[in-house]
Amino acid sequence: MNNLLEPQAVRSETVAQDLGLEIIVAAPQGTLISSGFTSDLLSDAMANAQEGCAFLTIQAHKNTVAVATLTGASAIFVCSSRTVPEDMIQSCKDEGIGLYRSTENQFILSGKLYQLLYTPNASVPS
Amino acid sequence: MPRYRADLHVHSCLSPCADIDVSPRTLARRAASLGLDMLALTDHNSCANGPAHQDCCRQERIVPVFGMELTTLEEVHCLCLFEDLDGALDFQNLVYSGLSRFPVDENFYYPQLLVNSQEEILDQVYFLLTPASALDISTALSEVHQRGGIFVPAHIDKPRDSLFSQLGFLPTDPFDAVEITLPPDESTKRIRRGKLPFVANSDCHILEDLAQRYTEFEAEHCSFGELKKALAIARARGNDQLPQPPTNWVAGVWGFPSRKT
Ligand SMILES: [Zn+2]
Ligand SMILES: [Zn+2]
Repeated sequence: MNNLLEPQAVRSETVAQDLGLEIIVAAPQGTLISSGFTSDLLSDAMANAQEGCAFLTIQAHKNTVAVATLTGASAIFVCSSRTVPEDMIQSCKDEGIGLYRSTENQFILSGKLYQLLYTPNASVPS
Repeated sequence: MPRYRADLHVHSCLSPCADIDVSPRTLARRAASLGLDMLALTDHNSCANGPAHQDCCRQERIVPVFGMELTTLEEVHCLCLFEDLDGALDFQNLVYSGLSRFPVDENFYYPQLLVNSQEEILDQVYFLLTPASALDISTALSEVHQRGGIFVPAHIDKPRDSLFSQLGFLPTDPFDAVEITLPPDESTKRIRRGKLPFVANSDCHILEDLAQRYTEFEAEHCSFGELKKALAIARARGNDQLPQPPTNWVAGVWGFPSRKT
């Protein structure tokens, strides 16, 4: 993972499996994850998250889904096993945004996602 | 219809960032002398100085409002206002149950003082009151409404602890109003407030702050219920055009109130 190439887009199912994510709402079939964005400040994500990204955050609530929708994020990865409220799950279903959860914190999960997206044929350490 | 003046965002010595001299008694006295008709006490995540606030406002013949400035899960500050102390304290129990118990480091914060109406110190709150609660903004709003309260995102145009800084947009939840700190036109450049009525308050942390900004509303008489009604009317109407009397209206005002005769 030394060369900063363009990230490769990876199918959401593959990302979830490789990163050991709990699937709360699966992203629609064929959804690709082409980058990552990690922040707990929604206004920052709103301004800077890229279309097709996975949005890594501990902000587990409905307004995170609004930001994901507005930025065109493919999925939300809730870090540190935060509790996910029912209305957030429903919003993700309504908006077709994947919702996944990890026991890892933002730093570790970001590292794993980076390795997966930026290293061709990388295998993520478990 | 008469107009009434309210300061709905005021901290006392229970807030770790407020001047230690700001007691419910000094607040109520100064509010009365400045001509305020209504005063809310809104410490961070706590209503625990509410009993003293009630006594002091009664003595000064101004209408007390009970509440807190809640830090939501998103770290957005919101005013949660209640007509009676019981409703406020019930909501406080809910907030306390989800609050992390960080000790108050007195190198950085003032002690969080519980006082009575005579300014005697009764106790302290030993866990820091300012961190995020476990309530997200939508849940907090519905919990406040269930208790008959008013829910107002605070200082929405400030670059920290606000809808502008934390979310970057105005969610569609049925807020009763929004609080602005900049003049309406300036405020709108930072964040849209939709059709919601706005209020302005001092966010008093030192006594001199009190009523530097305040809210004026038109009502039959000065009460929490009438304030709620005025907000509902303003909300239904939208805030595009400034209504002329005799329609009820709510608006923020900058600068000290002139003493009423
Ligand atoms: Zn505040
Ligand atoms: Zn405040």
